[in-house]
Amino acid sequence: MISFYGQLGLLVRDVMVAILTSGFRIRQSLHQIVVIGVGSQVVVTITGAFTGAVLAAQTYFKFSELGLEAATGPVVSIAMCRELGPVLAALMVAGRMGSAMSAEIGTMRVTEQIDALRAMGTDPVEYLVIPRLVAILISLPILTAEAIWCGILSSQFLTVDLFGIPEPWYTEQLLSHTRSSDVIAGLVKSVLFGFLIVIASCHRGLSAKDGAMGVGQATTRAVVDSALAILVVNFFLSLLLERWFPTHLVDF
Amino acid sequence: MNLEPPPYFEIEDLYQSFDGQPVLQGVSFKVPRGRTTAILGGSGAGKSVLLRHLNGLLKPISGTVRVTGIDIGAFSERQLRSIRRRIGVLFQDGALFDSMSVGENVAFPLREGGERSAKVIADRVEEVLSLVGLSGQQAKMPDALSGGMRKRVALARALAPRPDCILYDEPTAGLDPILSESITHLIRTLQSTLHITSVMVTHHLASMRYAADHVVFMKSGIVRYEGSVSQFDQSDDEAVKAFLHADAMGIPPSTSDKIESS
Repeated sequence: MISFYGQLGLLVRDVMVAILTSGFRIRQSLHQIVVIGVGSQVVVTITGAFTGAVLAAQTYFKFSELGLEAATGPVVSIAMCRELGPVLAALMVAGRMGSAMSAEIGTMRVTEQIDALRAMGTDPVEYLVIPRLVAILISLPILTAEAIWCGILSSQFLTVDLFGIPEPWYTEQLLSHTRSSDVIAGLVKSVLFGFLIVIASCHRGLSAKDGAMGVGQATTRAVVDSALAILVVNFFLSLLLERWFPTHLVDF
Repeated sequence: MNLEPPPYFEIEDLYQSFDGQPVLQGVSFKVPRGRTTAILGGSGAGKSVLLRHLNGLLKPISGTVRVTGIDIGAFSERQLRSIRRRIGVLFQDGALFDSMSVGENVAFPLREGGERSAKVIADRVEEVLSLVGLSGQQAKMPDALSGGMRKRVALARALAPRPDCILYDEPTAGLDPILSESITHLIRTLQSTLHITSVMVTHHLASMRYAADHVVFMKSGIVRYEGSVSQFDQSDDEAVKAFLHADAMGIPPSTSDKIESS
C-alpha cells in the first residue's frame, strides 16, 4: 500500500524531472495525439451525446410535472460541463487508452525492451511516459469539450424537436444559466484526469512482471486504478472548483 | 608511475538477492580491456543477473562495480547514461523493439546518441547489418524474423553506436549449432578486429573455448574460478570438474546441477 503510493510518487517525480530537464519528444507526442486524441473521438462523442440525451429525457419527464420544462437545458448543460462531460470522457479514454498504454509498456517490460532502452542510455520515462502525458493533456480537454457539446446538442434535439419546448426559450434559459466558470471547471478537471490516467496506467505497465499473465493483470489494474482515481478525485475537485469557479457567480 | 589503464570492469564483493533468495554472494573479478571474458556456469548460477550489474541496470545490495576505474555505485540513471552509451548489450532474446522495423531498431541508438543526418544513420545501419550478414533487411519487422536473425539484428543494434564494450547475455542460447558457431565466430572477429572488450555470459563450453581469453566460472552466486582458458581445464575446483565432466558426457550443465543438489 505505502510502497504503491511511493512508486507513484517516484514516477511523478521522474516525470517532472524529465519534462524540466529534457523537454519532450515532438514526434512521439504527435503520434500519441493521433492515437489517443483522434482515435478516441467517436467513442467520446457518442458517450456525450447519449448521456446528454438520457439526462435531458429524465429531467424533462420529472420537471414537466412541476411546470419546469425550461430548466431542462440548464440542468443538462451544467451537469455535462461540470461533471458528466469530463468524467465520462476521462473514463472512456481510461478504458481505451489506459489499457493500451499499460499493455504496451507492460509487454516492453517483460520482453526486456525497457531494459534495452535503459541499456542504450534512453530514459524509459522520457521516451514512453512523457509523450503520452503531453498527448493526453492536449487531447482530453478537447475530447471533453466535444462530449459536452454533443451532450447539449442531443438534449436540445430531444427537448426542442421531440418534446416541443420552443427553441428560443430553451436556448435563452440554457445560456443565461450556464457560465464560463462551468466550462472552465470541466476543462480543469479533464486536465487533471488526463494526468491521473497516464500516471496510473504507465505505472502499472512499468511494474508489470511474470509474462503474459502479468501484462493482463497490469492492464486490468491500470483501468481500475484510473477509473477509481477519476471518480474519487472528481468528487473532491467538484468541491474545490465550486470555491474557485462558483456556478452561482452572477455574470449578467 | 603506473601507466597501465585500469581493467574495463572491476567487480568487488558483490551481493544481490531477490525476495530473500541470495543470487550473488560476494562476487569479485576483473574484466581486462580489449579481451573477451566469458562468465561461465550452469543455469541459475547468477550469471545473467551479474551481467546486469555491469552497466547499472541492477543495483547491488553491497559491493562495488568500477567501469574503467569509475565507481558507478552512487550514480543516478541520468549519470549512468554516458557510461551505458559506450557499452552495447545483446539481450538473451534480443529485446528488439517490436513496434519498429529492423532498420529503425538499429538506427535507434544512433538517433539517441544525437546523430541527426539521415544519410549517416542509413549508411551505418547498412554497414552493421552487413557485418552480421543481414544486409538489406531494414524494412522487415522483428516478428517476421527467426530467432537467429533477431539475435543478429540485436547484435547489429548493439554495435551501431561503436561501443567500446559489448555485454552478451547467452549469445548462443536457443540457436542451432551452425548459427551459434557463426555468432561465436562473429564475437571473436569483433574482438580481434575492433578490439572491443567483450563479456559473454554462457553455459556453452565450446563457444567459451573458441571466443574467450579469460574465464570466470560461477556456481550458486559464487566465483569458483577466474583465470585463463587454458588453465580452466586443470582447475582443482570440484564445481569446475563437475561442469567439465558433465559437458564431456553430453549432459547439459543445468541438469547436472540438479542431479548434484538432489
